[in-house]
Amino acid sequence: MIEVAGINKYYGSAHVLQDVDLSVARGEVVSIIGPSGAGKSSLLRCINLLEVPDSGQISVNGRGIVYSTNRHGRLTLRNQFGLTRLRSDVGMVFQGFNLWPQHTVIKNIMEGPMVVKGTSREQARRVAGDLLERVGLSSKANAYPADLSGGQQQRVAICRALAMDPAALLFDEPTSALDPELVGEVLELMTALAKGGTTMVVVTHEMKFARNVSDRVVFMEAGRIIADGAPADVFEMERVKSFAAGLPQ
Amino acid sequence: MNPDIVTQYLPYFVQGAIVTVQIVFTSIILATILGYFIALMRRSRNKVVSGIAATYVWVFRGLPLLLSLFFFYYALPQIGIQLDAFAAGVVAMTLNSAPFFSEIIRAGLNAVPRGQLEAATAIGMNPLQVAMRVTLPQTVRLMLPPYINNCVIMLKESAQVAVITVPDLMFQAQRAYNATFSPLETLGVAGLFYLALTSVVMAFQILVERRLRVHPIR
Repeated sequence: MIEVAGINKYYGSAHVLQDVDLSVARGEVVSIIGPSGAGKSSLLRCINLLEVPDSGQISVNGRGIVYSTNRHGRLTLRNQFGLTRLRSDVGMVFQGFNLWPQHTVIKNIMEGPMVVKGTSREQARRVAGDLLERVGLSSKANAYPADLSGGQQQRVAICRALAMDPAALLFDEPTSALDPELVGEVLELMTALAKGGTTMVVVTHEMKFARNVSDRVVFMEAGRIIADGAPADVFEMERVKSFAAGLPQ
Repeated sequence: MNPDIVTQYLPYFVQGAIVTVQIVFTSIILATILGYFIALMRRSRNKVVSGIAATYVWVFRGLPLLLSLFFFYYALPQIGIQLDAFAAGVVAMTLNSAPFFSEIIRAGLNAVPRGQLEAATAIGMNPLQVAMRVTLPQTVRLMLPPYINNCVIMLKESAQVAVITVPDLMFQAQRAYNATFSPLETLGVAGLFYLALTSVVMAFQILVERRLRVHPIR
């Protein structure tokens, strides 16, 4: 489903991703854990080319992604227009929700399908309505993001990603910006998605989620993948144990 | 107070007000477009491009409008470019105001949270769609109050075009005053006209702000 191989990424002289390989099968849920600055988010953002690797292969859904950069290290304009298909194939959920404040909740969800896929307003509204019902936020359809709690905003953001009917979902620390009492509702939704067979790559500090929900856990440190395997095995490793012990749980 | 003077000169004031509106409106449109491109140029990574824009802003933000007006009306003919008073007024007002618009637009563009642009990119929008669907609506909301503010300033400053013989409101008021020496009936009435015009702009601001829900986000 998602294959990345030999990914290298530099920020100036810092080598933040060093020959990283990762493959995610259809329906698989992979959690990426590790200390801050390990390159977890950078790796995730390379998958949909929000971050452009300096070298390495990426393929999604069996299609190799050809990308090139201009001299400022950004995607060429041609790629920026050409890779939109890849991006709508993998949905992304951000730490900071990033809902569009000028739109109501339901418009936030309708925007992607209507603008990118050319879906009709009625169809988009139907899909958005169904998704909101699924996450228990039907009553908030016409509210603005600013009027929602963080947990509600993140659930809407997940709906926005799902509305594009993506082949996989990427989560970039989806609960890190939430008040502790709001983390549960988002993890609950993510767990339901995982059980429903959604392909998911999740960068997270929620060890319970990584251990209990994911099929595989990847432990990263200093730009490399140190461990990659079943949760039970990875959490048995000394380095992972000491890392997890240092987190507030 | 002599109402006869007011009624006698009222048609001239109306004519003058129309010229004022024309010259200000034209200058606002042109200065906005120029300011937008200057703002984009200043964000460019190309040092030459951003340097040109920064230099332009530096020069024209620092020059009095009156000086620009004289320059474009009296100095350009010396190098063979003849502008009529209205055109010279538009050129001077546009070039003098564009730096302010460019700063307002630049601040607006910079203030759109990166995450919202990333969310749009991640969902599959191309750069054009991101600009139209996210950047533009957000920028307009953020910059509307200072933008309108600047438009009001332009409206008032436009009175200076009278000195290069553009027959605007101020020009007509001055002419009427010189003919009658009754300041209240001429300059006073012109003042009311200016107040009415700025009031319309401010009413427009209130209307648009309501319409666009320009309120603090979060």
